[in-house]
Amino acid sequence: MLLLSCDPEVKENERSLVKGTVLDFEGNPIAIVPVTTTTGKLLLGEDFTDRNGNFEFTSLEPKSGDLIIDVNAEDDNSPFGTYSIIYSQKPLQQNYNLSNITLRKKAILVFDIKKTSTENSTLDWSLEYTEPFCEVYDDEETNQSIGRCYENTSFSEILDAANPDFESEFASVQNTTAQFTYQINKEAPQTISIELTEATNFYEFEY
Amino acid sequence: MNLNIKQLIFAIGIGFITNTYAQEEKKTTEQVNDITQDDHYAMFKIGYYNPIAVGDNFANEALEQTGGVEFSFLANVFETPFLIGFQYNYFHSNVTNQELVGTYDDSEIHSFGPLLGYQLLFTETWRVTIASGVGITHYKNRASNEHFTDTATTLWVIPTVSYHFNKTLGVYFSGSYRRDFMNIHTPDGLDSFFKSANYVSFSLGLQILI
Repeated sequence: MLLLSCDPEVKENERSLVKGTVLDFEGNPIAIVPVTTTTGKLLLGEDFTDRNGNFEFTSLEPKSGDLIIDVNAEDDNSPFGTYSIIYSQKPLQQNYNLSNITLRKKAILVFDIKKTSTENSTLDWSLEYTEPFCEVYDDEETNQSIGRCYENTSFSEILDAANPDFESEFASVQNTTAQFTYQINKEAPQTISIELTEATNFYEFEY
Repeated sequence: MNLNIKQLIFAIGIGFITNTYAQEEKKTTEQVNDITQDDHYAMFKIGYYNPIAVGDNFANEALEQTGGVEFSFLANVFETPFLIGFQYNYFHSNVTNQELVGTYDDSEIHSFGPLLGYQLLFTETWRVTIASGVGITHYKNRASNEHFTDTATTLWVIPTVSYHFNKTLGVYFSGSYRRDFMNIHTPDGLDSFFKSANYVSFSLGLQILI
């Protein structure tokens, strides 16, 4: 018989206060944004912003492990990106006052590459775009926040006769520019800027 | 807070009034029935226990109490009206506002502690006691498959009226005041909200005399 012993993930006799304000990139409050605290897969506290973008709620405290505050992480259909703050284990840290949290509007890029040429060519391409999320790590030792906030990332692939087409969607940030760089048969690389001005943007490339 | 102090004073006042009245009644009873001494050694109570949270605290604002059970034992201290014993009670609460207390579903609240009481004999069939005690309380909270505990020190003031069918068996009713002094650590903004939980409790059950 296998006996499993699991210590509680929640600290006994402890509560935290989590509060802040959620704004868009122009500084306007965003209402009804979900804000959660978790450790591992365990939900510790949750709330939604009010009409002024404010949230304030009581959270349980993790016994060990990180406490993660996620803003807008639960709503995939939201027009806004997400913001996460990861706190390493900090004894007696019970007041999480996040002040202003800025969410930027998401932009979906529907990206399509089609081979129309009959030549046996190879396309070496990459797409550089802005990530629609912000992740901040609150470092216990240095007492500084580090992380990545709306940073650029890239995706690359090589298309050839065996795998000539590509179609996918990329989640990025509105009013930013995606850089599409391609190279056909090792010719000089070309770069095309794709302005992401709408919630959903389409771009099709043929070679 | 004012409401809670008023409730405590009210409970103590009720106890004092019933005590005074019962002493006068006892004299009458003694004169009529020549009952000068309780002819029992101890009493057991077991019954339904229904606390109702009051005041500006987490138990009233974010939890909804459902019923529970209580058990107590009080023994006579020699040939005096004083009683000494213990009590255990249990009740259940559902979380109705997770935003205020954290994300968990419900609590099972267990309390245990010693009691000191005072007994008054009205008649052979009616009796009134008042008891008070300090005990320990565990709020066993459940969140999904996770359990964690909040603890408290509890103060009870319990006036009880009982009616006895015969020398052994009776029924009792009590309306008591209870305050749980919580051990929950919070930031300043939540301090008063989690500092204590206050209840007015009603109990009904069987009383057995031995």
